[in-house]
Amino acid sequence: MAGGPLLEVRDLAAGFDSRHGLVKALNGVSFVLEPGERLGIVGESGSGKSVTAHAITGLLPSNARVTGEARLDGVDLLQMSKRKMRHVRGERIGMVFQNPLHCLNPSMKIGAQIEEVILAHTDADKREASRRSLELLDQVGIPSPDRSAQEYPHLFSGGMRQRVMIAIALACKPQIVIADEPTTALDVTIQAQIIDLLAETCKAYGAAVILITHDLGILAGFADRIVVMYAGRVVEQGDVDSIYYRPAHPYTLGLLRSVTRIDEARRDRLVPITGNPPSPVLLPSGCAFHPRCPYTQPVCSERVPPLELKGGIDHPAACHFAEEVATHRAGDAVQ
Amino acid sequence: MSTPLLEVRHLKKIFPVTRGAILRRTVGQAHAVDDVSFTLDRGETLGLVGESGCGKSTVARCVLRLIEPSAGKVLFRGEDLLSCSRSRMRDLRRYMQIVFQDPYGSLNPRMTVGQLVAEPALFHGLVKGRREAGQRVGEMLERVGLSASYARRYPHEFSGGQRQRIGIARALASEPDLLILDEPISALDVSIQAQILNLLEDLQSDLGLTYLFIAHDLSLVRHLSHRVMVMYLGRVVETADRDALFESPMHPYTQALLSAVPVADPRKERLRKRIPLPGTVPSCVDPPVACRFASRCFKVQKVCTEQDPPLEPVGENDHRAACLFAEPARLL
Ligand SMILES: Nc1ncnc2c1ncn2[C@@H]1O[C@H](COP(=O)(O)OP(=O)(O)OP(=O)(O)O)[C@@H](O)[C@H]1O
Ligand SMILES: Nc1ncnc2c1ncn2[C@@H]1O[C@H](COP(=O)(O)OP(=O)(O)OP(=O)(O)O)[C@@H](O)[C@H]1O
Ligand SMILES: [Mg+2]
Ligand SMILES: [Mg+2]
Repeated sequence: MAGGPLLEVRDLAAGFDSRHGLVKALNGVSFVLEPGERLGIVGESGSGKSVTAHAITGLLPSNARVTGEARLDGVDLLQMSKRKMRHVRGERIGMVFQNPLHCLNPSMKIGAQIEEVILAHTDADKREASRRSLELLDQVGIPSPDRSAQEYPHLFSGGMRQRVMIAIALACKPQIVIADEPTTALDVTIQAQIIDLLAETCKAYGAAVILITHDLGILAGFADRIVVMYAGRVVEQGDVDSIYYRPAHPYTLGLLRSVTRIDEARRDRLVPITGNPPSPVLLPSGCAFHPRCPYTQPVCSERVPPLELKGGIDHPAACHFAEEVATHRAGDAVQ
Repeated sequence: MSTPLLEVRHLKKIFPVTRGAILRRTVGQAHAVDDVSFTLDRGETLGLVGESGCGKSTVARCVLRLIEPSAGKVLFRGEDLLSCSRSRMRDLRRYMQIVFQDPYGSLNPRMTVGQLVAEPALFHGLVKGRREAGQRVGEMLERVGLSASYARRYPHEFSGGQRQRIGIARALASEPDLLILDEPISALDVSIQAQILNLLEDLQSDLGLTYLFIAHDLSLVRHLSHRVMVMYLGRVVETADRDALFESPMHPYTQALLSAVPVADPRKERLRKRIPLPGTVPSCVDPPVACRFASRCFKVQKVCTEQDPPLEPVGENDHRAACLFAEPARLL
């Protein structure tokens, strides 16, 4: 494991058998995660963000067909037994989802739920687990942990439940925390608190984070590196500044031009991406973005552009015309 | 000065809080909207923002009299809606339409898009017979950027953004003056949000529409509104022209809210400081008697828990804030 990335995802593909045919949710996703790194995965609804997270953690339903690799410290998680994966999920990868109520047991006290995770995955005894769970509740900012530990999840607000989920995710000091849209259902003030908490606690525990969201604002302040997904592929990835200030894929550029910004007096008109995202049952040929792309040429519907480094661009993008996009964009995506 | 299109004065809505399934008894009163006043001129967009539960939708529903306000006045083109008859109210609804967040929930799945869009126009007698109705439907669909041929299809065949366009086409069919937009694009992807924002702008400039735009996403509000009103726990805490509100917010709550909104700009985001907002929003059943924000305010003084601060002028162009210690701050 020395020297290698913490997590290496390579050519991850996932399909679902459905009544309408094969749903091609992922079509070759590759990225790496370094220890302690904060990675953001961004993309529109249906682009495959959650399926990526679920595939890595062995949580896809049985109608899924998965190929590729996801190596954690060199060991392929996709080849692991269900039993071993359960341990990986508790001990090495912690998870925080959009809807904490689906993940918390409604008829079990908060404290007991955290203890249960600790007891299942470490050799702590009951007393130690109880002490740890109170410590965790305190660390995630739950007021009066002693009392809160005795309460049931439904008494907690959405923000408080998400804090509990972060405590559970961190309970066994994992190497990675995957947070899938953890704040989508929350007010913006609570969202800011939860994102800050996620950043702080993961840093304190030395865990790397994969934060999945469709909000480019959240990732701007959070992520070290960004993976942009479209129609089940990575279309561009790079460090956060190069993605925001030097986008080289027309989709990323389109996203940045579509966001309204609170810090800007009104620009005349937004420049939206035209059309709608494709159906994963009927993906366009070649580059899946070509029907919506202002740069499209005949080759775009014929060949899938690989995610690769091109001359003059500091990060890989999957576009036949990445160089043109990078130069034509005239620096106006973000000033 | 001409009469404003809409004027709301001292609007209140109290919901009884009941307990027990069979023997329902009232155990308290939820002050969902408590003394809200504003005016809306023709062709103007007023953005209404605030966190979940602060009373935004209740204001909207009271204005349209979808629920009965507990107190206050709603004047539409100078006419008092709360004292007019049911049949007069039905006629007036033609001029005031609402578009909801969830177009799925608000579009009857058994009706075709054509039937849905034609319904308000037929109801108000603006078109007669199938030919005229069909023509109106085609015009409306094209107006919102959809093909007229979609009229024969059903709502479930469309994406979220397309369904929201259908919702807007339906609202437009009765030729309204006022559109109340209750979180119309919150659930959509950013690229689709941008399309709908542009559509709303075009419709306003082409048809002279007036919008009450409700959203919790402040960047959408900054983009679309001319004036903005910030609510907290049933009250208006600040109201101002758009740029004044975003560039020199006066109320500590507005400041905290703005500081929490992330900006899609990494360099800027690294330099920003958030104003902490401790605790949670108090319940609107027995709300605090003095300043409602006092329990979470970073500027709180003793007097704030004793006096209820009025919504007073604090700057040019009727910039108002309900805070004894209102002071501008630059946050963005
Ligand atoms: N169990 C399943 N069976 C069939 N199709 C599925 C299943 N799970 C996901 N999909 C499909 O896979 C595609 C990718 O879904 P995914 O949930 O990863 O999107 P996402 O990027 O997380 O979107 P969102 O932002 O809406 O959460 C979608 O088209 C979705 O409909
Ligand atoms: N029918 C009702 N009975 C009792 N209380 C109600 C009712 N409708 C709304 N409320 C309460 O009134 C308050 C204001 O609700 P409202 O729906 O207006 O908030 P909102 O600002 O639109 O919130 P959101 O952003 O979540 O849509 C809330 O505390 C809510 O619980
Ligand atoms: Mg998802
Ligand atoms: Mg509402």
